[in-house]
Amino acid sequence: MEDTLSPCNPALGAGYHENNLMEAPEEEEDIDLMNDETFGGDIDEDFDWEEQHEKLSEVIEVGDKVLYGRPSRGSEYQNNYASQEEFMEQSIRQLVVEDEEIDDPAILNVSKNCPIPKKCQNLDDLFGPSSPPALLDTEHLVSPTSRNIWGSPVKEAYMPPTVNNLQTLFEFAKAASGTSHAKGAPGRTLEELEQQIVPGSKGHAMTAEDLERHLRGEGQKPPPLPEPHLHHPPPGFLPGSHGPRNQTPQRMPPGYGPPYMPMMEGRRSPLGPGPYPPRAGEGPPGPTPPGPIPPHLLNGNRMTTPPIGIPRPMLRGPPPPHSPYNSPGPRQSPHGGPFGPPHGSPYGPPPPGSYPPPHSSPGGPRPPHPMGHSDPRRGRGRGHFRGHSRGGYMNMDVREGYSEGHDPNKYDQIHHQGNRDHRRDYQDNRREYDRRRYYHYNPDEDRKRSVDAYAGLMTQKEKDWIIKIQLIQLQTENPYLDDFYYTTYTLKKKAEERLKRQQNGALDDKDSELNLIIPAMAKLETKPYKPAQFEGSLGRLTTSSVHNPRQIIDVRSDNKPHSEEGEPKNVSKELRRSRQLLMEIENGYNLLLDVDDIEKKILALPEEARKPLFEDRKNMLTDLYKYLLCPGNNDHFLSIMSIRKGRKLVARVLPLLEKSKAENMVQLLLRNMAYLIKKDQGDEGLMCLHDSVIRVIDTCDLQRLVEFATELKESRQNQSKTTAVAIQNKFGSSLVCTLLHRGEVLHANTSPLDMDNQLESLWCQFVHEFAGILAVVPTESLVHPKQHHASITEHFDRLLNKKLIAVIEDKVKLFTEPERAA
Amino acid sequence: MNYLPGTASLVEEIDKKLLVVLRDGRTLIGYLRSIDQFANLVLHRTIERIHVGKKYGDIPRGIFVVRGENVVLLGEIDLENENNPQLEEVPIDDILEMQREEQIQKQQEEERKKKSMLERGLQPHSELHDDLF
Repeated sequence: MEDTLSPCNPALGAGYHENNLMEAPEEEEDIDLMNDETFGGDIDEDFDWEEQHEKLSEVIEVGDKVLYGRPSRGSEYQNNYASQEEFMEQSIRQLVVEDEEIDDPAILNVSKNCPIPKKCQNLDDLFGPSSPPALLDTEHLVSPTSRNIWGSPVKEAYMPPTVNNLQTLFEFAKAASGTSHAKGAPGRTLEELEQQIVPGSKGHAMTAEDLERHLRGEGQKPPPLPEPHLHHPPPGFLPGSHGPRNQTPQRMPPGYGPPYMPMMEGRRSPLGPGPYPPRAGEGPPGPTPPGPIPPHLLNGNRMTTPPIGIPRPMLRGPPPPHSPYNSPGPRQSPHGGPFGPPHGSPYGPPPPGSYPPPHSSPGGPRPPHPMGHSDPRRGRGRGHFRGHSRGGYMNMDVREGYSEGHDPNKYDQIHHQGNRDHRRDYQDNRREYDRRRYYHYNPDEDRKRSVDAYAGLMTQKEKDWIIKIQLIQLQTENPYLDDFYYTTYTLKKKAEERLKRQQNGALDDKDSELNLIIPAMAKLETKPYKPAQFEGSLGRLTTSSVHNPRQIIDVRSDNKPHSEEGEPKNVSKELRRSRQLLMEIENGYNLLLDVDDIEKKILALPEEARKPLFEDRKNMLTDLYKYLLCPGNNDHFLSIMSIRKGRKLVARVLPLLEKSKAENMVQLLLRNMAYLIKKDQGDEGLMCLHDSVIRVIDTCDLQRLVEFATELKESRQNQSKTTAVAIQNKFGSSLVCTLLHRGEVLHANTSPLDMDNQLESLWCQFVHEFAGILAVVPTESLVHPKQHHASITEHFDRLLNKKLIAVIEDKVKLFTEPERAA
Repeated sequence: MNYLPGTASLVEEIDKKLLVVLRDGRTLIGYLRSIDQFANLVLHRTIERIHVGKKYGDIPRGIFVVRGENVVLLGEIDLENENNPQLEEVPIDDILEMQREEQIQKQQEEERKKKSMLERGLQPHSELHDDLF
């Protein structure tokens, strides 16, 4: 007994350690507890923390004013909020070193200058095991500017519009990736919707605070029922705390309560106390204005949770307690019916007058509005008894602007304002309940209609939920890998469309082009995640979450191709050598394919994200180049060239390289032309290089040309002139032909003044030599080049004397005239 | 189809009258009320239709919740033509009787096959049956 009285009772878990602490003599009077250690030693005398604090709070208020155009919540609500925590959060927010793209929804709150939902959230519910991890996956569907999924709708007001239905969301996602511009630029759509829904509504977002202010201002007394909800202490709303009436089986997993609320908060705004503007005298029409109605709310139930790319993703309602891999929440039993409202969030987006409620029962059944995942649950409860009242004869209450979805939202509303609505809602529900009972007495309605009576059991929100899951499963980072045929099929179709559109008056060519290339999914290329940093904090605060764990080790893999061939000097050296060569060629191809992949990715991405990829690509190409060429080691290159695959590799790489590198390669080629041709006797394997090489030559300048030509000039050792050998091979002769052609083009295009004399003379020399060779080589062994260039004759005319020309005239024909089909 | 071309989703089948074939060979006909991500189905006003030869019989079942993995296929019922099938409807007991007979026959067939296989020294037909039936 006595033990329990003492503060440290081992039975209660107090350890000996603590005992020691407790029993430590407190006789150190020497220690001044108010010393510098406690308060910080080196603080200026002038430093007045109170002053600082005041300034800070001003800043906050100003910030709020700026953001929200009205006096800071902070100042007004400090009294209202028991928790100073929120205020602190605000201050922290001010302090945070802004990071452009903080993608982790989990910590978005902290790092953005956005209002943290007012109700103090039980963080466990947000981050604890019951938090919806998988929902966060959908952040990938969202643009890099995706917002906190738990963000209050006010935040959302400034976000890239939340779209009101899946489709627009989808398009938004594409748009957000910067590539396409779907016909509903989301923002536009949102506004349009707003207009439609509430014509003339003020486009001003109201926050929960506003509403509450309103409420208090109006001094309306909430009905006793909702009372408990309304005033339940912020930290932690438990289903159990519902009022007496709330036998609602809408037991929500604890995770739902608090997070739900905050979300509802802002969300509440558009939904306002009076979700239905036409509500006459029902409530303050003021708070009603939808403002930036979270689009999904607007959409008469179509869109539930923004599945795709909702910047302010997912949670329209309390996050589902489980991952998306659970069906939308547990259902409640129907009994909760009439008393549903307390739980229902009064927060139902007013079904826009212009939106015919999908289930064609504007008021009657109020299937849970696409609010949150809890909504279906809630709505379900309600839906049950309402079930019968579905369908055509759901005669609604006139006041029903209630669209489905009104009710679920009531839940939130209750907490925030609840009076009017709650009362209304309650009455409505009761009405519905009665209606249902009434319908019980009409069992023999049309079969057909009774089928409809059960229709809509699955709310739009739930359907969207499913679709969202399916879409998540479909998203991919490399569509070419995951479904090549589908990807190419879509691209092809788009190309055709684009072509057609072009033919029918191509104005938006630029637009469609982008569309064309981008795969349907908006991929996110986010910068490497840099955790948020806080200014003025002691040490580095951890901001890691499930999705962005802090990086402990930097692991990077450099796949450098194995470039050096170690020469093992043993018997099977040749075999190993050739195998090694093949492996090296494979590596070269791997690099090439990587470059290819990058190119594809580049096409699919928005501008900003492309830059790092460009870098990568360049690096890869450099690697590739070095790999192939192994400067200083010609043999490597030659050995590669002796293998067909190697030649193809070179042919594919050549166009990708930058000019100087490409020209180097060509030069190397030419240098070893004799050798290559010798090896090429029989099959024209070198021809695969033809196009690439020709392209290089056609863009080179005179100096390069001369260098090329020099290469062709024989090195003294060789017996036969390289050129001579060359023209006896198709590839070679094509090369020579192209060289001459290029020479002619250059000569034609450059005025004599600009010509470098030295180069000019060198070139002339070459041409002369060539003519000489041509004269010598028998016609029969000459081979037609692949491409003929008539310009060669002109060139010869220009540079050679008549006599020489006459001699080689016939042979020149070989080069200048198309090959006669022999 | 709405949101991603080239895909199919059960969402469009909701509230439609569907015919569902299960892995154990049962055929259910009912209104699809709800689905989830595993393609679990909630069928309303379900009847189980047993086919034997050209005859069939219906057993009203009420509400079915079918686990998604057990569904082989499902298809929409053509409401116009559903009332004139080429098949003959018989009362339930009869059809059950017929089904039982059919089962017995199949079993006997299997037995015979097995026996003849063993006689020839082969292993009896290994169980590569499609699922459960």
